[in-house]
Amino acid sequence: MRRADNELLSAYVDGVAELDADERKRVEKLLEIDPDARADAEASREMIDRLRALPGEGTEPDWSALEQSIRQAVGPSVPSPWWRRLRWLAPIGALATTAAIAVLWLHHPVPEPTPPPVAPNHAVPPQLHVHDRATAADDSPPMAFWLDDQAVDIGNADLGAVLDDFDRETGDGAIATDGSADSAGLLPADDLGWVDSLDDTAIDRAESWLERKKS
Amino acid sequence: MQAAAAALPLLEPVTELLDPDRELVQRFRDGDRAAFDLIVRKHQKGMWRMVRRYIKSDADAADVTQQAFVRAFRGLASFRGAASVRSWLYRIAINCALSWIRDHKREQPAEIAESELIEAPVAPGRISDGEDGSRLRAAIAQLPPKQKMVLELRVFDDLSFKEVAELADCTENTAKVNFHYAVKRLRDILGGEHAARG
Repeated sequence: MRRADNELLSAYVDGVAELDADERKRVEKLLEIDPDARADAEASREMIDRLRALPGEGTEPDWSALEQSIRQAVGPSVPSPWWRRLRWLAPIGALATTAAIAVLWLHHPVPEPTPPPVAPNHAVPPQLHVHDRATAADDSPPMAFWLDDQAVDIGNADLGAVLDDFDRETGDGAIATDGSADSAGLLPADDLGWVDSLDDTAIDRAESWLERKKS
Repeated sequence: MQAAAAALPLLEPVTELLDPDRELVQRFRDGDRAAFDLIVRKHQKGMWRMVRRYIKSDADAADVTQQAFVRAFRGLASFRGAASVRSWLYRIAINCALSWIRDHKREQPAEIAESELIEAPVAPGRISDGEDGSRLRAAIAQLPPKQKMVLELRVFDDLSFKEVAELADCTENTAKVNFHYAVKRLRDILGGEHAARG
C-alpha cells in the first residue's frame, strides 16, 4: 500500500468520478486488501455528510433584490474589451504601414542580387567549352592564361574578340570565359585556382595559341 | 472490495464536462446583456455564501457580492477561459472580500492581517445550528489554512477538485490530499472531544 493511496480516500468517497482511472484503481485495491482503509473511508464519508448537512452561516438576503441591485450597478450596455474598442485603428494602421513601406521602397530601391561565389572546378573536362560569349565581354573580370608555369594576364581585353580568335585558330572552339562550374582554360586572373584543374591538352592548346599571337 | 465499494457512493462516470457557463459568456460577448443576468442568477447564492464566510455581516456580504459581480461584468468580455467561469467568479469574490476586510479592518472585532485572511482560521460565525454544528464549525476553524480553504470550497461551495485547485492555487492532486487531511483532522478533533467528554 502506498501512502499516496491513503491520501486519496476522502476524495474517493466524496467524488469517485473526479479521480482518474489509475487513482481509482489504486484506492479500490487498497480498500480491497486493507480493513483499516475501509474503516477510514467510511469514517470520512460520515464526516463529509455531517459537514454537508451543516446550514450556511448568516441569513440569506433577498435574492431578487440583490439581482436587481447588480443589474442597476452594471448598467444596460455590454462593455467591450479594449481591443474591440480600438478595432477602428486596424484599417488605419494597415494603410499607414503600406504607405511607409512604399515610401521606403521608392527612396531605397532594392539592389540586384549578386551571384553566389563559385567553387573551383576540379573535374577536368575533356574539351574546353565556350560559355555565354555574348555576355562574356561585358563587365568581364581580368582574365589570364597559364603559360610556362606563369599566369599570363590578358587584363580587360575584349574577351569576345579574344575568344573568337582562339576558336578560329584552334578549330572546334573551346575556351572558358566565365569561371562557371565546368569551365577551364581562360579564367579570372584574381583567382588562379582553376589552373589546377586544367589538363595538359588544354594548357598546350592555350599555350600554342598564345605563342602564335605573340609571333 | 465489492462490499467496500458498494458502501461508497458511486457518482457519475468520469467525463470531462464542458463548462456550462461558457455559452452564456459567449452570448454576453456577442452583446447579449441578458446572459449576464443569467450568470448572476445562477451564481449569486454560492458567491454570497462564500463571501459570508469571510465577512461576518449579511448585508456587507451582499454588498461585496454585488461589487464582485460588477467587476466580473467589466472583465467578462476579456475572460480568457483558462479556469471555469464559476471559479473565476469566486476568485473575484474572494479578492473583493479580502479588500473589504482590509478597508474595514478597524471595524472588525479583531485586527486581521491580510496574510491571516487566508492563512489564519476565521472565527466561526453566528452559531444557529445546534451543538453539533457549533462544534463542527469550531473544529473547522482549527484547521490549517490551506486545508480549511479546500474543505470549505469543496463541501460548502460544491466545487469540483479542479475548481478548488484553481482557487487554492495548487494542483488538483494537492487539493484532494488536503481535503483528505482536513477531513481526517476534523475526525481527530471531534473524536478527541468525544473521548474527553466520555
